[in-house]
Amino acid sequence: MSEITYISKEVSVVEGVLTAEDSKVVVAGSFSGNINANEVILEEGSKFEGEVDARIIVIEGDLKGKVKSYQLKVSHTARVDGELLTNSIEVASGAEIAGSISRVS
Amino acid sequence: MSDQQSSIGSGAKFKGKITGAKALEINGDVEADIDIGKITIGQDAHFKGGIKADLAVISGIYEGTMQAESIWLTDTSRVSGEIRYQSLQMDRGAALNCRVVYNWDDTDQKSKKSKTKDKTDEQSDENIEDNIENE
Repeated sequence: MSEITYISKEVSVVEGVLTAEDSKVVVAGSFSGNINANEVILEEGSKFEGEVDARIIVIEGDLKGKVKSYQLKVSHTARVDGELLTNSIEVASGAEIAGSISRVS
Repeated sequence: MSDQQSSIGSGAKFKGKITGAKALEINGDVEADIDIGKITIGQDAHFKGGIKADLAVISGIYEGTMQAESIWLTDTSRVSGEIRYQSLQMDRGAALNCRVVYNWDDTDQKSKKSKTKDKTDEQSDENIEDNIENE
């Protein structure tokens, strides 16, 4: 449990730089900055602005910025605005995506 | 999941500003300024920066200026910088290389007095409750 980094709903992070290459990061609150982790989950209701780089990324909330992942899942509650770089993407019906999607080179 | 408290996991590194948190558990490497209710710095954690808290439990390495109502330094804690407290508990083995200030000023005296008052208040409250029940 202590391996997980969790940003709860009431929390807001600014100018954040978070690195957790071997572990999982869950954001339920608001995060502005960069996240680099093994797995990142941006929960429903969360707000993210910046860059995320992770092996697995699940977007359920609002995101503005750049996403780079091996495997990307965008849920029906997501609102994404930006640049998506991924080798595998799953987008649920209802998700709002604006921006570009391309392969990781 | 939504009721879970915020945490920085072991192996994680964080730098930035955190606001709005009621409680935070740190097991990783953190450089931040935090204003919070309760903060726990775990045994393997390393925290650098300012903390303002109601309660701080330190088991890891802390560098900076901490101001807390209540501070508990466990046997594995390593502290440098400055700590300001109103209530301090230190376990045998805690290592302090810092300025330790008991911030005794007027407001604290007031809070002390009000604390003793609270006791009598509680008693009188009980009496009132008894009276209400009697009525």
